[in-house]
Amino acid sequence: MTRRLFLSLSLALGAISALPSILMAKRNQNAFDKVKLNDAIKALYGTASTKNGKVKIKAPAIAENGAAVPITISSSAENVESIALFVEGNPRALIAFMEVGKNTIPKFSTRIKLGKTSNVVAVAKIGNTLYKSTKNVKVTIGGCGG
Amino acid sequence: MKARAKFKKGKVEVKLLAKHPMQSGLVKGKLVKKAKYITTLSASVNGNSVFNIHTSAGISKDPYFKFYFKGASKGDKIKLNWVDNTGESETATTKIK
Repeated sequence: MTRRLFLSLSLALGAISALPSILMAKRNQNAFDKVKLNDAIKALYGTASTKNGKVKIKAPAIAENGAAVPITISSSAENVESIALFVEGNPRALIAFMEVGKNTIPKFSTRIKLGKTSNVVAVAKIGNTLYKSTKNVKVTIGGCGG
Repeated sequence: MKARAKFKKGKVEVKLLAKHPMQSGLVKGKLVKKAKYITTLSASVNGNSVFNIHTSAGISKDPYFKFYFKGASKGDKIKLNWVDNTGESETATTKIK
């Protein structure tokens, strides 16, 4: 067996064995693994071109403790398909991706980690268009250790 | 997992607190210990999904979520479930008040 053949075979086997877990989880792990904001948006939605507005972020301007920063994202538009939350300066940009079902209201609140002062970004898919808003949150103590 | 659901003006508001380390395992971008974090959190009423979110280790330890949905009323039961990256999961039910 040549080295090239061996490599391509092992790659193919790896891809097959990884498949069932992807199908079961229905989670875009590839997007969650991306470091940069635009790469994560592209991996999640297929494009990184966005318009501004139609999605709102509520976050403190200054967070004393980066380990738990309260965030609310929402959209009051019709036909919202999904909303996603990103932190530009974190080791992995994508924080959460919410699918909006028939009865789901496109709004949620949570607490997130911020490693350092950074832009918090919300993206909503409304029809075939991506809308984005950005809010800068200053952090005095980072929260990404551990 | 603790949860409370309230019916208000035609919609249901759910507040949820799960107990979980939400550990990325990363220190300065390097994997130094095992990652353990919730990957999916979902809620359903009578078998119909009302909330589904995929999360990363960027959510704080002992995650808190507040979310809203329509199409249910007082007395209905909500089934809540989370799954983490190690395959562990927890399910809870709460009644809409």
